[in-house]
Amino acid sequence: MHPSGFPSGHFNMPKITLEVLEKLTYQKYGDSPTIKSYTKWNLFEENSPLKLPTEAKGEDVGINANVIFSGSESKFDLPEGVELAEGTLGLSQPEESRILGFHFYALKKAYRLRITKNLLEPLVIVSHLSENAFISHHLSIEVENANAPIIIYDLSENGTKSLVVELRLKNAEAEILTVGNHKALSHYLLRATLGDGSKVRAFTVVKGGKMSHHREDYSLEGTGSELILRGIPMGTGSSVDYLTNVLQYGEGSKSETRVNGYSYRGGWVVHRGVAKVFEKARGSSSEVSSHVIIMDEGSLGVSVPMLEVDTGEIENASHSSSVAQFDEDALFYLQSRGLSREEALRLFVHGIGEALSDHLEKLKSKARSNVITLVEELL
Amino acid sequence: MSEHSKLEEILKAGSLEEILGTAVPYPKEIELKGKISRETVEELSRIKNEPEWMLRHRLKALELFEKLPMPKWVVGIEELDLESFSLYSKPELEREVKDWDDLPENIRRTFERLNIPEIEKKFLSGLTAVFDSESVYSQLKEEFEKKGIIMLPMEEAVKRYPDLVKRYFGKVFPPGEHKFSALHHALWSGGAFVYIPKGVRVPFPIEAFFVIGSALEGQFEHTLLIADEGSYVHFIEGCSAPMYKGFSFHDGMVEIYAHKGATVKFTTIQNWSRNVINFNNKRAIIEENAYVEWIEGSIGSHITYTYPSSVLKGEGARTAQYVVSLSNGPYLKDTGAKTWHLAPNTSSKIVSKSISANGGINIYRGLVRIAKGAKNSTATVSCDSLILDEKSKAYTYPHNQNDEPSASIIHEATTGRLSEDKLFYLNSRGIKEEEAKSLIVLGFISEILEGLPFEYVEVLKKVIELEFSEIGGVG
Amino acid sequence: MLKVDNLRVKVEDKEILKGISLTVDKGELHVVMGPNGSGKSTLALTIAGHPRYQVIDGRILFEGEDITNLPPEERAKRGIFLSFQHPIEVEGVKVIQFLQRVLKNLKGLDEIQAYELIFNAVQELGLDESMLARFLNVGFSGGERKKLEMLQAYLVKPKLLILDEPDSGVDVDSLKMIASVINKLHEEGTSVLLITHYGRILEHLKPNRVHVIKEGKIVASDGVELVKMIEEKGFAAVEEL
Repeated sequence: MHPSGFPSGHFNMPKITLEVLEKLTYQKYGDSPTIKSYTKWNLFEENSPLKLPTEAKGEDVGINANVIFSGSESKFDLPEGVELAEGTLGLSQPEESRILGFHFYALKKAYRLRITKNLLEPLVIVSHLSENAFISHHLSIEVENANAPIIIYDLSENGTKSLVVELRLKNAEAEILTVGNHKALSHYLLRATLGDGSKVRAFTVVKGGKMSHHREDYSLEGTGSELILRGIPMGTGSSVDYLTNVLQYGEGSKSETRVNGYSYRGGWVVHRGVAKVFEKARGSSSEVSSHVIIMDEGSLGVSVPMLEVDTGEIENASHSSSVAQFDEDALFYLQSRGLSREEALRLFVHGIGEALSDHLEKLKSKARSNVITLVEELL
Repeated sequence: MSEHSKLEEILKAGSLEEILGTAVPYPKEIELKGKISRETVEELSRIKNEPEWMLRHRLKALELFEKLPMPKWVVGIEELDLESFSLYSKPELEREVKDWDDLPENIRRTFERLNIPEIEKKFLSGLTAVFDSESVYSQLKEEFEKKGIIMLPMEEAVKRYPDLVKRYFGKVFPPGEHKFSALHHALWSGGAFVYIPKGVRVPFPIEAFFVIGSALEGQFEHTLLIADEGSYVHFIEGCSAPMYKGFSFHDGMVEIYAHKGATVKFTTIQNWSRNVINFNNKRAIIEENAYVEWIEGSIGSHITYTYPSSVLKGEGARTAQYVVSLSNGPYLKDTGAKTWHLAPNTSSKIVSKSISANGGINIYRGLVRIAKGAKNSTATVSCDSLILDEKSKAYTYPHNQNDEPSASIIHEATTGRLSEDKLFYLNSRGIKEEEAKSLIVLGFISEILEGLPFEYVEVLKKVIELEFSEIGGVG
Repeated sequence: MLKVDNLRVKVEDKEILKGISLTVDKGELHVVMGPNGSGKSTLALTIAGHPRYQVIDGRILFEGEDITNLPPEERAKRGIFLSFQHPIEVEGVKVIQFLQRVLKNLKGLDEIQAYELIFNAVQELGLDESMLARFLNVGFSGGERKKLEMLQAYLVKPKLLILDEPDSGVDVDSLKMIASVINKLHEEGTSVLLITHYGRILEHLKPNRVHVIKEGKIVASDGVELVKMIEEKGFAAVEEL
């Protein structure tokens, strides 16, 4: 059922009343037998759109971008073949949780892009906030019969920023590089659905702020759909709750998730991932590897890779996880070659950035340079 | 593919959480029918002739049961008839089977195929009165007494050794942990009390039901095992041969306290009839340089929840949990292991192997938590699932939390299916499909079979073969 | 050049070295042999400064300076180079990048100077260029790793080259390459401390002195003849000296 006048799959921006909002909770279930929630939701509660202003001025971030959301301002400079409209793809709803309730409550306008031609240059999107306010940005992207490299810069300097990106691929391929660099509170949700033969190569590097909740949900619905997702969550004296969820419905679908997290100087890095292979997804394969490295005393690491397989007719399903400190022997090896401890740590993280971004083609070097920048800040 | 994304449909239904397994497979809350009154508990205590302190313990637990919320992670149970519990905990009504012929036919047939001797058949079918008088282990009891080993039904121990029991009962797994541990502490009945004195080593595995007899058959049995410094014991409860149970809800508890340098191996093999919902609360507290090994083999029952847990309290404490769970048919196994590392140089190992077939579901829930200060501790987890057909499922939810940089947690898991290649290879050597399946399953769990006494492995092997034969096992 | 003075070392509360003393003069080649578990590797790793090995007594002097408490990178900068028995994998870091970094840190060369040097060395040692583009030791066989260690030593030309069982797990050809690098460096003035279990490599070298270590102590120090005796009668024979 669609609201009349809209092509299928296009929706008006959902609205939410205060009454409904007040009843919503952040989570329906506890995160683990011993911990209610890894994300410090109380910080979001204290800095919600009910307490902070929902308007803010924009600022020049110094990045050449096609879509710039800064504060409450939006600027577009789109290449040929990319259409702009308002609304969403209906992949996220305010009633899902309190944080999404806040997101839609504070959201002024949701935008939609439609890409039907191969993009030669990456589509660059910036979402930024520098004032003490609760600001929501919402962008939906449809890619049909085309290849699109997309870069998302998710930057929160102050206040609370909530960014939701909805993505739908129909017979399309996309490379997505997400660079999260936060100082304040940030909420990020990516919801992607992949149709037949669609492929996504995603790479996320996110440096946590006061508290960053970063979640990516991928629904592999089409036959033969593929996802290679790699992520590097980093927390230096800051906190990141990084969630990666992959749902496989399509026959012969493939997914590979690799996350290497680093917590340093009292930082907190949590990686949780669900890989679920439904009964229909015959002949599918799914891999999740989650490794968090605690770099010093006082830092914390949690790794929870969950695997749900609803049928025996699968090619392969596995997951591995570890939470440990840097391999002392490996550190020593580099030190014995004249590198100081800091230099050695930097080289390792840098090395992981290289290894984890080698599935990208068009965005590989951009990914690597961003990792280097963030690693410099990390150490 | 429809125009709508599956995501849209799911979102309209509620939230993504609903399909992300935290509410699998039935998101309803358990309905509690009836009530357990204070009077019922008081009467229970009176019938058992218990001392005052035990009655108080039960009543406090009952209060907690009423206050505590239903745990959200308990799935698959829709309704619990509380009134029937108190009926079952009354001793005379514990067994409904009075005659061999009352047993369901498939269980009788299974016993025949397993070649279980007459005496055991009678025991397993609940006719323990007959069995007790011909106990093989009466001689053993004399030996134990000489060494100072105490092994007797829990209820007797409460009366004969109150100080010893009071020191540990409910301290390893307190009633307030969750609703079902509170229920257990209010209604517990039966179980074994074992005390191994300092430095005493029991060189052969003790098969509990032969020694304790009927006391272990209960619905809410409570086993408390205390291994004093430097002692060694291997305790086996249960039996791989199918057991018919008259009750439908089991909420048992095992508390183990391993003092400095002690070693305890605790093996549970369960193959209960398909009418039972089996809930287990098992925990061990392990002191300096002590070692506790849990071996858990879960074959029968309709739904089983069991998560043998170890608390590594003292420096150098070690533990291992080996869990095999078979869900053959429309049944649910929710199993796993929990380990807390609280001291330096502790190590833990979890090996979980689950097999799902004929629509069976296996859920693995693990928790490894290394606290700050537990320097140089290591934890390794390996959980593998084997799914034998397209109807069956396997879910794994490991939680690994490490707050200590010099410690490490490493976890590997695979979910695989029955390899066509393997099957074909065995077929081409003249082995039929069903036999091949049981061979593959036995190979899959071989690592765990190594820790069991020979006779157990033999019966277990036969049981698994039967499960996959044309008859289709006990279910 | 190197003076180890009554060194006692423990690992995780277990004492491995129980008072080792030896002196390697400038330009000499010393060999340390011993059965498994004797503490040979411990000695090498302690001199290089591995944090897991704690010195409980004694000291290590290098060119007159007490380096017992110096961090590993400082020892490397002073000219001590350890060739590892089990070189570590470092994902995502290319061999060429790594070598350039090492030459920058230890020799002060810039990237371009380093690159030339590396390229020439690879040719001179008859190694496969494609190795430079691979990630450091990732997927390398035992022999390949040892050869890469030798390439590093060859480039760095250290004052003291310590080799921890360079001959374990390598084939005949690799062994020859390793021995020739050691000889070349030795001829050019590098002092060498070679740890070995098998002694095969000694067929290609001319050691000045051979030490036998057993249960954390040096039980014999003599010339090359010691090696022959060990080969014929095993380590047990050395006790009787």
